[in-house]
Order: sequence, then structure tokens, then C-alpha cells
Amino acid sequence: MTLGKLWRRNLRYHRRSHLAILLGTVIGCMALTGAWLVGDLLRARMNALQQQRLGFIQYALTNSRFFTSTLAQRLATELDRPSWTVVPVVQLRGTVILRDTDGRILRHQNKIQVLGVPPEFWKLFAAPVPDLTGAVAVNQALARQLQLDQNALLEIRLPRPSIIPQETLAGRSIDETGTAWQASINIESRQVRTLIPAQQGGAFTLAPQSEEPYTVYLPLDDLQRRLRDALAVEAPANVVLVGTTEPQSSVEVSQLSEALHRAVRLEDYGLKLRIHHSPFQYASLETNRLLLEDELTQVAQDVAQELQWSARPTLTYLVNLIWSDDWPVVLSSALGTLAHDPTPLQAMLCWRMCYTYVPYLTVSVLDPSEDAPWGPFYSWNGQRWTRHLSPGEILLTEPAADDLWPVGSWQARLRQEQELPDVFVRYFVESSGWLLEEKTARLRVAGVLSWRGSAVDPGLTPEFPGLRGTSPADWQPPFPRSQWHPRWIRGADDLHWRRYRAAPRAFISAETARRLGWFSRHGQYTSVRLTTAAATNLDTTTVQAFAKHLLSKLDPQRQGFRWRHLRAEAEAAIDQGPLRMFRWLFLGFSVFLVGSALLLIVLLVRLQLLRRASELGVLSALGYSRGLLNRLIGTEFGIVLVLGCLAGIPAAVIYAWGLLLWIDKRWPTSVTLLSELSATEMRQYLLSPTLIAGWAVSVLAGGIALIWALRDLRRFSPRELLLGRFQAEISAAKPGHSRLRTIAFLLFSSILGLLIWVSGLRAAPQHVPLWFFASGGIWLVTSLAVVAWVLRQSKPDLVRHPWWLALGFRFLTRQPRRNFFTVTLLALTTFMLSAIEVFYKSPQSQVFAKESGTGGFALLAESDIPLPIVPKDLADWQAILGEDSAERLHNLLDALQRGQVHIYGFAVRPGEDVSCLNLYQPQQPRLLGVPARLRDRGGFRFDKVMPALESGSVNPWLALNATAASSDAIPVFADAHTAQWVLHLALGQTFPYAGESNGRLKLRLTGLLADSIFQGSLLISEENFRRHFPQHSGYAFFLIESSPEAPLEEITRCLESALGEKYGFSVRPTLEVLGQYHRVENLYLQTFQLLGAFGLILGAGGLAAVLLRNVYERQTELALLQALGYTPRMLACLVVVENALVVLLGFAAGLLAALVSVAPYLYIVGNITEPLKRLSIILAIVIGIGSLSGSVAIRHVLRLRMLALLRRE
Amino acid sequence: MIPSTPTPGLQVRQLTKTYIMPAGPVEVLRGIDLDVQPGEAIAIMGPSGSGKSTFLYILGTLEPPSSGTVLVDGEDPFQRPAQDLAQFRNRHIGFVFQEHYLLPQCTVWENVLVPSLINNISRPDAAVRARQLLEQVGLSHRLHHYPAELSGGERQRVAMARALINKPRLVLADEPTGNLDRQAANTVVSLLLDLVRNHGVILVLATHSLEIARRFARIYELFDGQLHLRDQ
Ligand SMILES: Nc1ncnc2c1ncn2[C@@H]1O[C@H](COP(=O)(O)OP(=O)(O)OP(=O)(O)O)[C@@H](O)[C@H]1O
Ligand SMILES: [Mg+2]
Repeated sequence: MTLGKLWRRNLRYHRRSHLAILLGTVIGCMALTGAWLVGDLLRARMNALQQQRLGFIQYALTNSRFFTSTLAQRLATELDRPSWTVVPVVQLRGTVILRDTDGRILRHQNKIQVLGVPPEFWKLFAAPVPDLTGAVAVNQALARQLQLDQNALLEIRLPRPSIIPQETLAGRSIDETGTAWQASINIESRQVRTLIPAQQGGAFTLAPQSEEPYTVYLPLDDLQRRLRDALAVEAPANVVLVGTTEPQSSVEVSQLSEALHRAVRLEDYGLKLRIHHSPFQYASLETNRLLLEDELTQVAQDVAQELQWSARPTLTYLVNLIWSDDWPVVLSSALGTLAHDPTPLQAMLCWRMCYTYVPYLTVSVLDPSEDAPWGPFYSWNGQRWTRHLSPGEILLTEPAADDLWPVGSWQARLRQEQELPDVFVRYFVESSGWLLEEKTARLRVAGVLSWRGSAVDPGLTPEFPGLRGTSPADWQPPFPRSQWHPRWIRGADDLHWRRYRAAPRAFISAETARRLGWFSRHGQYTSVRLTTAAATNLDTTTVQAFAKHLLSKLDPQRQGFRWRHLRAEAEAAIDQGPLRMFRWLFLGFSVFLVGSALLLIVLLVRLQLLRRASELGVLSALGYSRGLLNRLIGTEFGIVLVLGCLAGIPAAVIYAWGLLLWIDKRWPTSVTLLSELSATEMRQYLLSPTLIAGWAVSVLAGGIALIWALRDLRRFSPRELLLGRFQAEISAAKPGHSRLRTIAFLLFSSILGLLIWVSGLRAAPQHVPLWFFASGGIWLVTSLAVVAWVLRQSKPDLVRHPWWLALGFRFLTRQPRRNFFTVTLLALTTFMLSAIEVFYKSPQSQVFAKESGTGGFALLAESDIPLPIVPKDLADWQAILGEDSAERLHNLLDALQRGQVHIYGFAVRPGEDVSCLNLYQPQQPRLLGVPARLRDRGGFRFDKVMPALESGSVNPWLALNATAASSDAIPVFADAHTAQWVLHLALGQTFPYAGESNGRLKLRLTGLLADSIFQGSLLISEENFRRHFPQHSGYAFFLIESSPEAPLEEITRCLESALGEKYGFSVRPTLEVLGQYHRVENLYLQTFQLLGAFGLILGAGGLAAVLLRNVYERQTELALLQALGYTPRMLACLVVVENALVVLLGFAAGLLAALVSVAPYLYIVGNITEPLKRLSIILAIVIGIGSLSGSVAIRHVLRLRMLALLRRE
Repeated sequence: MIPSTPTPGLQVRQLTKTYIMPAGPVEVLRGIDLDVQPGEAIAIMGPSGSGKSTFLYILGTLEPPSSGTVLVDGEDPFQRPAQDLAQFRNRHIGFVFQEHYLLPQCTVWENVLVPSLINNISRPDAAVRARQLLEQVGLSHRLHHYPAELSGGERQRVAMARALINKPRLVLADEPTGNLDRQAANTVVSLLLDLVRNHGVILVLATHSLEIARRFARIYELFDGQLHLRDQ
């Protein structure tokens, strides 16, 4: 016999109790380590996905404009790192179409990533180079989605990219028929030759996204050929990928930036220096964007000054029509509108009879009084023109004057020193609508220049891809067909075009141009003309020297180039993404669970000690010192604890694993977190320090709990122990023992709770979990303090109350301490369950309810290519689908009419999904422009709107247009979930948003939508959208309203078949979208509730243990009661009452704490009944478990013979 | 002061014990004097609540006295630092309670050995001694049984063997026969007296039974917190 043997004996003898403690420890350790591990695993898995997505890619050079792909080679040379691969890529979005043999569309898929890649691209993924000549490759995700096999034939539609800012006149990209806003590039049937697995570049995207991308790969040169015309760039690319297979090799962003600065050429900026020899030698700096940004103009002028060159910024504008006097207009308006669509007869009339107009001529801004080299200019009569042009004046040239007035007549007038009649110019101004805004201005004629020398200068008009052909009638200006009138063009215009190209035929001063509104926000000038001081010896070398100097002055970053460290971005997106919140919350709830486990351990240890009191007493009498007893008992429980924690580790691994698998299974979109985890990755996670840390922390926490549980041992009286009780147990039972202290404590904790609650209301969203748990904790403590007080104080009168209540309550309050433990355990569980329960979103079943998440819209649609207008009637449909589609349209319109369909179109600035479906932190959320029509219609439910706006108006949508006087921030709406969990924004907060061309916009969150289909985007008003994002024209997001009896499926089919091919239009039911969001949100909640369920197990365990102990202790009491005539059933009833009281108290305390702390974040108060219903079910379950353990206990007692028990005393 | 040679035996001087209760102090013992020589056995009688147990617990150093001294072989254990009291108890005092308080998880033999585990008596010696003691109380055939398998009298005899395992100077028995029938009680007391005599220790026994008390050389009665020698 040794002490060690005694331990073993003890462990064996009390094995059942120890086993219970062990189980508690296992669950506690599992919860703690598991929570940690879940976070780690998720992170690791997402990292692995990122690894897969990026392959060996480190950096990407992006530019919203296209540049020449040879930049990549130059970069590689400048970077001079042989182990690094630099690959130019074209990345676009598009639609793919799969047809059957008869040419009917089988399936189509929009939002496809179209990549033009060179063979080196595959090196970045260590993948074999697929042979793509004349074929395409698709990634496996797309193949799966479209059920493609190899050799399938795919058609690809790409929105034709444009490099010219779209709101500028020349920037509108319009298809050949002039009916679509944005032309598309069609790549006809291509064979799918290779399927690219995710590990071999199939997962590549620039930004991390949760869903696997759908990608089509084309040979780079092939795609470039398609784009060349549209872009006026020889071999265009918009992304350069930089990576290395050597893990040690690293390159800094600064090195890359320097290399870029050295490698970049003017053409990469879309600039060129054109050399002109006539009328004198000069070079003009032009851009393929047509308008030179003012900054560029300035830099060019500065460089010219440095090099002592002469520079003249120049604007040349296309005027639609110029005429003299207004009588032709009077005439034409009598005949019909000239401006809009003159009939050939009208045009002929004007031309034949009057000769008084010139169509489509260019007008330049310059100063005709200049000397050489920019002048001189001569008047028609040969005199040198010396006067500056005044505002409101136009200086015509001879050809223009000849066109406006009968030849000879204007000369005669001028000779008589009479003024020529005023002329009218009609021109387009920048506008965002489908139809261009046309303006007319009346200008005084300053004179007529002789058509020679400096006046004849085609170089004044920059090169523009649309200006080609043998006649101006062949031009392809980016105007809507209805606003382009080639019929106006006369023979004289053809002649002029052929001889002088687009040489300007009139001049105005800069001031006049400004007044006419010709200066664009994007740049005032179309070129900077440059020449050496002597205007001679201007050859390629001198121009190249100028170019070099200019390049050194241009900052690539300011020209739209951006180096993105994709790896760092991915890491940040993971670390700052929803995962962080999830980890926090999960850990927070787990802490509650761990707390429960610790409580249970303490409870069980104490109960066991109590049972062993006399054992301890006799050991003490036999001379075992306190220290020794402490060590004896401590070691005994310590062994259990350490073993429990050891067993908790594999349990944690299984638990974390199972949890992730479960999440994987239930995630609505195809995101795979675990299924592709490799063995090495596995091993890595399983050996992670997390497990050791989790074990250590569990042991530590358990140890502290143990010390606390054993603390009564420190001040025992052997005599009391021998009597089978602890001194503490007796003193705690003394009533009225610290009323003052209780009241003081309650006061303090409720004030603290209130403070935390109030600060939680205004806490930054990302700190909400912290406040929530703090508030939950403090309110739990407070309500439990009340319970403790009740347990101590209340002694229901035996006479006045029913016997079962009075006796039950007596039973309850007899052991206040241990019952309090059980109450606390149950309160913790209830808190966890109910705090989560109220956030559950039940599926919305009413699609047509206007004030709901669907806003009453049944369908939602998106298109790859924006629709120029939102079609309302036949004419609109014809406008977007072409007039030849009349046949098809009738069916469509019929169907739509039958369903009484209204379509609401939203402008879209593409960006990242900000809904709960996105697992990564979005950098650039998608933005929708809400049409005024929707604003007026109203609908959707709001969680909160800015208070100032809420009071006055009934329609919260008006807040989108309200601009606060104090700030220039754009009002924006977001879904409450998005704001809270994804963007971490509070109502009223402003935040930056990347605007056009490197601009930064400020958005202010002015409204929170409750549980809506807009979860994936931010909303601003269409007016603001058009103002700030002019290059995203048209409508690409749609909500479709229909009458409830409308055949939704038919409408969907109609719309998709009509618009799917041309615009990449796809329709989804709104309920499906909303349901997907709900599924994810609820999935998160379910994982948290899983913890609550574990808590429930712990609580039930505690409840059972206490009940068994209570019943055991009261055997004699119960025997006596039986002797006094109480039936066994009545005794059972007493036990059940006691147990129900414990459960109810615990439940009330937990529920109260949960409701109070959740209240600030409860978006939908109307929905509280549903959760309460489920909560009461949980309550019933808990009471059921309690009663079950109670009845087990009572059966145990009733098995003992009563009289034997009595005699023993 | 000249150190006096320690007087062997138990000397109690002016021992008082007062419990401070919320309702007021309860004076249980009010000045007890007692001398017992080694090898002597005394019985203490008294009505319930008179303080017999309290007195024994104080003698056994399980509770401190309010005032007065207790000398065991000339040494006042309460002068020792608190943590040494347990050691003193282990070495010099043996307890027998009304309840046997055997560890249910240990065998008879092991139960006897429990006090020896924590001092430096050599293990084999203790084992042998335990066997002898159990033989003396007539349980040599029960060495490896568990307490649950014994009768009440047998259990009490194990407790007696346990009390003597460390060769104590003082054995305190608080109503050791309270739960036993007459026959068993007599056996137990006889055994106890034999053991005391053989081992030369002091026995202080509290009992309600005059029959049992009569077997002792000296009988004291405890009332009003005082100890009175009963004339036989
Ligand atoms: N820890 C304590 N606190 C307060 N009072 C106590 C305590 N222990 C004993 N007493 C009181 O001291 C008195 C003596 O108790 P004690 O147990 O010594 O009596 P006893 O003579 O052994 O009685 P019995 O023959 O019934 O065993 C009793 O009145 C009791 O109430
Ligand atoms: Mg007593």
C-alpha cells in the first residue's frame, strides 16, 4: 500500500463521478481547442485556395486602359530577373453560348472571365501548355456548369471594350448597327479543346472570390486581333502578371515600379507623337482616348518649355451642322424637323435651294493672329490676320464661306465692309442618356480666312478610328443611328475629305469653346502641337528625344498603372474578411461553452468532495495534514483533468473537422473548404501549435476551476467533515447573510450593464461582437445574482401555498449553492441558444409583399452587356434588339403584356459581391444606380435610415438623393447585414470608394435595408451614379415586377431568349437569391447553436448530477415523508417541481440576458414570435431532460427500502 | 527557567472551550483538569450535548481549546505550528469513532495501513504490524476483504487496529460501541482494553453505557463543562 495506490483506489472507487468530470473536461477542451482549430482550419483552407488561385503569381500590373502587350517583355528586360516570369494577359468579362446542332441556344452562361493568355501563362501554374490554336480552353467549373465535354463548340460574346471615356462624345462605344449601347465582340464557335483543373490555373482570378470562377481561355494574339480595332492599340493587354517558381526569390514593389517607369512607352499610355510636315514641321501629341487629360497637356507644355520647344494645346471639335441665318430652320421646321431626321426631300431642298449649310465639319480652337511657326494666317483678301478672336466669334475659311453663301456674294459684302450674317452651329455635348444632347449656338462671323498656309492643316484633327472611308458618309461616329445623318453629306464634303481629310474649316477662340461647352471634364484639348523654336529639323530622333523626356516626367501610377501584390491582397482579404468576425463570434460563443464546462467540472468536483467529506475527515483525524490532503485530492482530480484534456484534443480535431464538413455541405454555392485538402496540409494542421496551446489553456482553465472547487478544503473542520459536510456548505445556507452586498452588487452590475449596452449601440460594427459578449456576460451575471438572491431568500409559506410548490421550493432553497450552479449552467446554455435564435431568418414566402426583402419583385436579372435603355414598349425593344426582330418581339411583348411586367433597370458599376456569400473582404463593392422610378415606387424594408431624413418623408428612398449640406459625400444604401458584417460600417459613416480615373469618392451610408435582395451591392441614386461613374452607361441589373398571377417561368424564358444572346441576360427568382443569403446566414447561426447544443448537454448533465445527489442526500427525508403518508408519486412530483424551478430560473436568467444584449442588433423586431416559439420548444426539451433525470433519481430512491433508511438514523 | 523533565502521560489543565455563535457564545467546557498515566484507561460519561466529543476532539488536536493546556508526555501539541499538528496526530494519537469511517475503496489490511503511509515508519514493518494488529483483533482471515463485506463489529475492530498502527501514546474512542449490540460492544471494549494494556498507551473513551464504563478503572462524568470523578 502506497499513496500512489491510494490514488488509484480512489480513482477507481469514484470512477463514475470521475468519468462525469472527465466528460465535462473533454467537452470543455474540445470546445476551446475546436473553436480555435475551426478558425485555423478555415484560414489554412482559404490560404490553400488562394495558393491554388494564384499559382506562382506574386504581382499583377493592372490598368483600366489597355496598353501594348510588349510592355511585358520590356518590363522583364528592365527587371532583369531571369527566374521571374512576366506575362501579358487580356482579362475581360463575357458570355458563352452553347448551341445545339440546329443553332438553337442550349445553354448560356454570363459573367464569364475571358482570358487571353500567352503560352508563358501556364508556366505560372507549372501546368502543361494547352494547344489553343483555333480553339479554347475552359476551366472545370465552367465545364461542370454548362455540362461541357471536350470538343463542345462554344460561342463567346464580349462587351467591346472602350478606351475612350464613355461620356465623351467619341467615347461611346456603339455597335455597328447603332442600336446597342455597347457593341459586343462575337467570337464564333470554337472547339473546347482542354479542360483546365483548378490547380493548373483554372482558379485564377485577380481578386479573391468565394465561388469558383467560370473562365474561358483564348490565345492572347487571337483575342488581341479581335480587340485591336476597338482599342486602336496594336497588341492590347490590360494585365501583366509577374511571378516566379523560386520561393526564395523576392522582388519589391518599388523595384517593379522603377522597372515599369523605365520600360513604359508613350503608346502604353495610349499616346503618340505624330509628325506633320505641312503646313510646317511640327509634332502633335495625341491620345487614342481623343481627349488629352489636362495633366498630360500641362506636362507636355512643361517639357516643351524645358527643351525650348514651342507648344500649343489644341481642341478640334466635330460640329454637326453649321448654317447661316435661321430661315432654313424655319423652313425645315415647317417641313419637319431637320435636326432629327430630315427626309431626303428636305435635305435636298435645303441643299439645292439654299446651299446654306455645312454638315459634319471640324472646328479648331486656335489663335489666328500668331506668328511663325504657328502662323501667320491670311484673310481671304490676302491681308495678314492680326486680330485675336473675341468670344462669340467664329472665323470661317473660304471653303466654309463658299458653302454657306453663294460664291461671290460673301466677298462682295466683305468688300463693302459689311458684316456677314451670323451663323448657327449645331453640335453634341457630353450627355449620359442614350440620345445625345444637341445644342445650337449663334456665332458672329469674324471674317473669312484664305484657304492656304497655316489655315489648311489636317494635323489639327487627331487621328480617330471612326474617321475612315472615302466619304464622310463612311465614318463610324459613335452616335446613335437616329442621330447620325450621312444623307446630309454632299459632294463638296466628300471632296474636302478626300483632299484635306478632316482639316478644320473654321476657328474659334478658347473662350468661345468654353462658352459652347466643348471643354470636357476629362480634358480640354485633343492634342498638343509641338515644334522646335525654328520649326525645322524635326525628325524622328528629335521627336524621340522629346518623347523620352516626356516619359521621364510621366508617373505611370497617375496614368492608371497599378501594381497589385496579389498575395498580400489575398492574405488581407482573408484576415479582414467575414472569417475574422466568424472566428471572433465562434470563439466568443465557445467561451460560454467552455465556461459551462468549467462550471460543470466545479459542480461535479464539489459534489464528489461532499460525498467524500467523511473520508477526508477521518484521514485528517489520522494525521493527514491539510497540505497532504490537498495534494492527494488535487492530484487525483488533476489526473482526471489532464486525461480529459488529452482526450479533448482528438475530440477537438474531429469536432472541427466535422463542423467544417458540415459547413461545406450546407454552403449554397460551390465553395469547397475541405474536400480537396491534401494529406500534407492535413498533417500540418494536426501538428499545429493550436492543439498544444488549446490543451495548455484547457488544463490551465481546468486547473483554476479545480482550485476553486477545492478551496473549501482549505478551511474545513475535520469534525464537520466527519459529519459529512463542509463548513462552507453550512454557512452559505444561512439566510440574510449579505443582503446589502447583494443589493450593492446588483446596482453596480446593472449600471455597468447599462453602460455597456449603451456603448454597444454606438460601437463600431467590427467591435460589435465584443460589446455583445460583454453585455451578455454582465447581464447574465446580474440576472444570476437575482436568482441567487431568490434562492436564498424566498421561503414560501407552507400554509398558504400548495404543498408541492412550498415543499418543492424548500427543496430548491435547501442547497442554494449547488442549485445555483445548475441554474447558471442552464442560463449559459439558454443565453447561447436564444441570443442566436432571434437572428434566424425564416424564408420569405410572400414574393409580392412590397415592404419585404424582395420589394415585391418576383424576378431579378443581370446582363453582361448593359442595355442602353430599359425597354417599355415596342419601339424600345426594337431599339435594343434591332428592327428586324419584329417577329420575335411580338411574341415577347405578348407574353410580357399578359404578365403585366414592369422592368426596373439599375446602372451597374461592376465590383465585388458584398453579400454573406463572399468569404473574402471585398476591396471594391459592386455599386448599383437606383432609378428614380424605383425611388418613387418605394418598397423594401428598412432597418434604419438617417434620422434627419426619416422624420419628414414617408419614403425612405428619398434619402438617396438628399445631400447633406455639410458634406460632399454621396448618400448610399446597403443591406444591414452587409454593413454590419462585411463592410463594418455604421449608419451615417462615410467611407472612400474608388471613382473613375484614380479619383476617390466619398460615400455616406444613409440607409440600411433589412434582409433584402440587395445584399450583394451598394446602392446610390442613378443621378449620382451617372454623374460619378459616367463610363458605366446603360443598365445591367434589373428587377422585374409582375402581377401575382403572371406566368413567371414564361416571362423568364421570354426575356432570356430575347436578351440572353445579345446581352448575356439571365433571370433568377428573387426568392432564390434571398434564400441563398438566408441559408448562409443561418448556417453561421447554426454553427453557433451547435455550441449551444453542447451547452445543453453539459447543463443536463449538471442538472442530473445535482438531482441525483440531492435525492441521495434526502433519502431519509423522503423516507420520512413516505412514512408520513406521501405516495411515491407525490415525492416524484416534488422532485419534478424542484427541477422545473431550477430550469425555469436558469432559462429566465439566460433569456433575459440574451434579449437585453441582443436588442441593439435586432434588425427585425416584428419577427420575434417565431424565435420565441422555437425557444419554448428548447425550454420544453430542457425541462424534459430535467424531469427525466429527476424521475431516474426518484426511482433510484424509491428502490431503497424506506424503513431500512429510517432505522439507520 | 530550568527545564523540567517531561512528565509522561496526559495532563490537562484548566481546559475551556467556547463556541462563538450568532446567538451568543456557547461555553461547552469550563476548566477541565485531568491526569492520566501511560497504560491507564479512563471512561467519560455524560448526557448528550455535555461536551464529551468536544473534549475528545481537543485532546486529539482536531480542534483547538479556547484556553488551558493539554500536555501529552509533557508536550503541548498546540504550541506546535499548525501544519505540524497533523504530524503530531499521526504519530501520537489514535482515533476510534462511533462510525468506523473506513475507506470503502481499500481492503481491511490497507485501511489499517492508511495512517502509516505518511510517516517514515518503514513500509514492511508497518505491513507486518498491521497483520499482527488484525490478528489481535481477530480478523486475520479478513485481510483482503473490503469494509462493505464486514459486519459492524468487525468494522469497528478494523478501526481499532487502524488507531494503533503508528504506536500512538493516546487512543481516543468516541462512543465506539454506539452502533453495536451488547455482545459486539463487549468484545470491542475488551479488545480495546487489551490492546491498550499490551501497548502501554492511554485510552480515553466516551460512552453513554455504564456497563461499558464499569470496565474502566476510572470513570469521569462530564456536566456543566466540568469533569467529575465518579466514585465506584
Ligand atoms: N462546531 C460547533 N459549533 C457550535 N457549537 C458546537 C459545535 N460543536 C459542538 N457544539 C456544541 O457543543 C456542545 C457539546 O457537543 P458535543 O458533541 O461535544 O456533545 P456530546 O457530549 O458529545 O453529545 P452526544 O453524547 O450527544 O454525542 C453541544 O451543545 C453542541 O451544540
Ligand atoms: Mg458525541
